[in-house]
Amino acid sequence: MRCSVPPPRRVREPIAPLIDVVFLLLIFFMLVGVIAPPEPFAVEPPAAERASAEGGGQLTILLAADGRLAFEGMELDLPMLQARLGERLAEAEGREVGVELKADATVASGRVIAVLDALRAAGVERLGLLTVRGNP
Amino acid sequence: MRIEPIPPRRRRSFLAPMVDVVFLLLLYFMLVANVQDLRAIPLNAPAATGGAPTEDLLVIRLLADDVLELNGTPVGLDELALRLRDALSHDPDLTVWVRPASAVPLQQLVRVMDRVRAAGVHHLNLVSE
Repeated sequence: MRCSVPPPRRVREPIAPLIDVVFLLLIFFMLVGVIAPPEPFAVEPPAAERASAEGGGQLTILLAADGRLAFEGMELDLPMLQARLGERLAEAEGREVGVELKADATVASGRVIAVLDALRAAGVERLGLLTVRGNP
Repeated sequence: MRIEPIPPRRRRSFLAPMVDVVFLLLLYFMLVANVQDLRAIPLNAPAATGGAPTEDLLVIRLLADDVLELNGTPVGLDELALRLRDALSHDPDLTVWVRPASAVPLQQLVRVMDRVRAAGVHHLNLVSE
């Protein structure tokens, strides 16, 4: 018996469905991703070797080297920040909201503590100080 | 005059430019995304600001020019870690208060906090001068 070798069939790779899938992924990430508001000023957080726990705070407050404050892409002063935070905490309806302070490495400690005290006065219970990995 | 119908041309879809666009979009989002690895140092809310236990209170004062004081006596960073470990062996749940002078830059404060946490202290409070 003679078995004939089947002739090699030219199979064309289906590219169109592949691109469809890529577009779907793209659309998914565009919809899911939250576009963070641009920071109104540059902040370089201090470096810490053992910067410990994960972030996990939903709200980030910026503190510039000269003491200016920003929240949600807007520059504001301390009483305004407290008011805005109060609103956010009220929206959370009792769920614990973590707040993180992203302060510049060169800002004076007194200012940092004043801001932290103000945040606590506004009702924030879980506070964190953001740092980058590095050798201090 | 006889008009010949135009033969339907078979157009190939332009796949390559489409793939290019997809890659450009991908590149854009990769560049725009913030990849800085930020870590948080958790800060305790001082439960009782006024009535802190005064018995074995550990207060680290951080003065200008990198001078550290633990309960009033000047210490170095390494000695501080040693003393803290010693105190922790008696009371693993102790609270340490860090009190920086208001002009000290944050980086200096974070370095001290880093060492304090590295020594095993879990309860760290910041107080102002």
